[in-house]
Amino acid sequence: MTSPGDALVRARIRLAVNEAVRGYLFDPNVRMIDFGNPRRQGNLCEDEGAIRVHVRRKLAGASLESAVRAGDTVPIPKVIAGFQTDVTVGRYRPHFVFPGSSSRPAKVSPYWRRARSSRATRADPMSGGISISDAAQYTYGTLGGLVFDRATGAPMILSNWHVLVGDWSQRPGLAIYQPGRLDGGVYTDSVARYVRDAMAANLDAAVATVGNVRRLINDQVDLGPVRGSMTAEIGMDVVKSGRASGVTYGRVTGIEGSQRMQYAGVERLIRNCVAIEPREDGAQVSTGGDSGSLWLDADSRRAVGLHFAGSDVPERALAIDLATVLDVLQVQLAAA
Amino acid sequence: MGQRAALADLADKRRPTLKSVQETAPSMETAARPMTADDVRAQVEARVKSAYDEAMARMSAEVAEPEGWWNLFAIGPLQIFGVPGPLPPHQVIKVGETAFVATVIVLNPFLILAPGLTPLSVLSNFALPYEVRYQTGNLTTWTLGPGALNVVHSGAGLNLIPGQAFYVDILSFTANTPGLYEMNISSRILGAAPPFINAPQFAGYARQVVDLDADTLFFGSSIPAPGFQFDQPIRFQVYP
Repeated sequence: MTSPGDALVRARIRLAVNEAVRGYLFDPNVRMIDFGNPRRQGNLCEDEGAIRVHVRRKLAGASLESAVRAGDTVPIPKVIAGFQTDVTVGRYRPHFVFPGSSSRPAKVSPYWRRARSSRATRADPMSGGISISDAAQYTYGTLGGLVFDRATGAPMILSNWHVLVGDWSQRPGLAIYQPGRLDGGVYTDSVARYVRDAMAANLDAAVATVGNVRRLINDQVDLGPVRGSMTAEIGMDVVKSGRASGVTYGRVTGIEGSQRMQYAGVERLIRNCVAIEPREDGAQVSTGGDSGSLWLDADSRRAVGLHFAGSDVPERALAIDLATVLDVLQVQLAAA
Repeated sequence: MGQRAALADLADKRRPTLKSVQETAPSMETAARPMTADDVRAQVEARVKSAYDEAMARMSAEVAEPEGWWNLFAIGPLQIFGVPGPLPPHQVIKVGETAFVATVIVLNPFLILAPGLTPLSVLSNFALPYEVRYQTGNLTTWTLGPGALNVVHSGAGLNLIPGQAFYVDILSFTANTPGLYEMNISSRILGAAPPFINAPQFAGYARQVVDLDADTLFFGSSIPAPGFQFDQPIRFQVYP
């Protein structure tokens, strides 16, 4: 059982993150605030925890003073609500792909080409980790996995709002293509209809009801079936199967994150973020086109997060706590 | 066991030891340390979060949920001396002792205003400021209670956070004057900017007070069991 002490530490973390969010997240230079492992001299300190403030540009000395004088930012205190702070660079963007976008994963090009060929084509049955998009956007993201409507039991596709919807004017009923349009999907590839999303609850997630054209099964390409869900914890080794970068491994380094992100011209605050970084320096965890994929605990294959964004420098993936997503969308994850 | 509890059990196996968390956030088992308002806030937050998660996991289309856009709940007075577990109420307080009253503002995540739109999303996404007002009278002398029990918590740091459904406010006080006291708590969610700060506001009273030790000894089932007491202020006695 979770001990009262653990629950209280987690409560203190949430309260501290909330205090930091109130005070600093709306600073123009700050993009995200979470709780996780700080970096000292570039090295991740895996046995420490800190309130992490992710900024566009890391400022110090004269440049910080100048920016403060200009009203562009405010200094981050060394301690917030009793926790030490760590300022880290993070320029995040939603991980989907548009024509001409620069998000192709050069670092893994040989594998990526092989992965792309299998994940970008028409699949029957469909599974997690393959290309998908809605009918209106010329793009692709990743089909996350199979979920069931809690009220009706209907099978549904789980992915991101910016993959299945992507536009504030869209309404339920929008056709979903597999493969995504940028991978050649056309109206005859319509496999599902967008039903509802969680954007109003500050979660970049949506579900679409699967039609009778093709089956959707509980499987992740090259990983096997999802075996349930669990809560991400700092230090957990995780793996995902994404349309663009294929199977990649990472480690959870941050939890309870709140992040500002632009969606179709509107800035939204996304909550319950989990930060994932490579287990080895130089490795890749995600890239544009992986949006919507499920991050699984590497050992148990239980899902912990829904991938939605990331940054290349430093290499970092962002996911949304899956239990929260499932509750808000009122769906149940298919589990083997 | 709820879904969240089951998930937490699984997560427990992987929880690493974080030095600084343990150092900077000592657990409630530290018996010798006097409790602070932050300790009480963390206890209340953990309990409300647990209940909130369970309610979200159980939510289904046909279940009626809290009415209204938002509401206030009050718990207290509380006096905790380093003992983990449920928060015991302390309605009889010795002069010189410290006690706490916790107020929880809950924005309704269940009421569907339009597809995908709830009071939680409408109110929280504007990051509106809010205030909590504590008003206390001395019923023994029929006079206004001490200044520490008649305060307004407002200003910096009291803003709604996009997506955050509940907010815990703690009043900490030291009992000084003997007597029977009655406390009412109200709250306002204010407009976003100075020209609108007094324009359409949301106001309410903490009508639901958690009374965990309702007396049931002599009068059978007609006396309410421990739980929420409706339309009651918080009452407590301070003795010399």
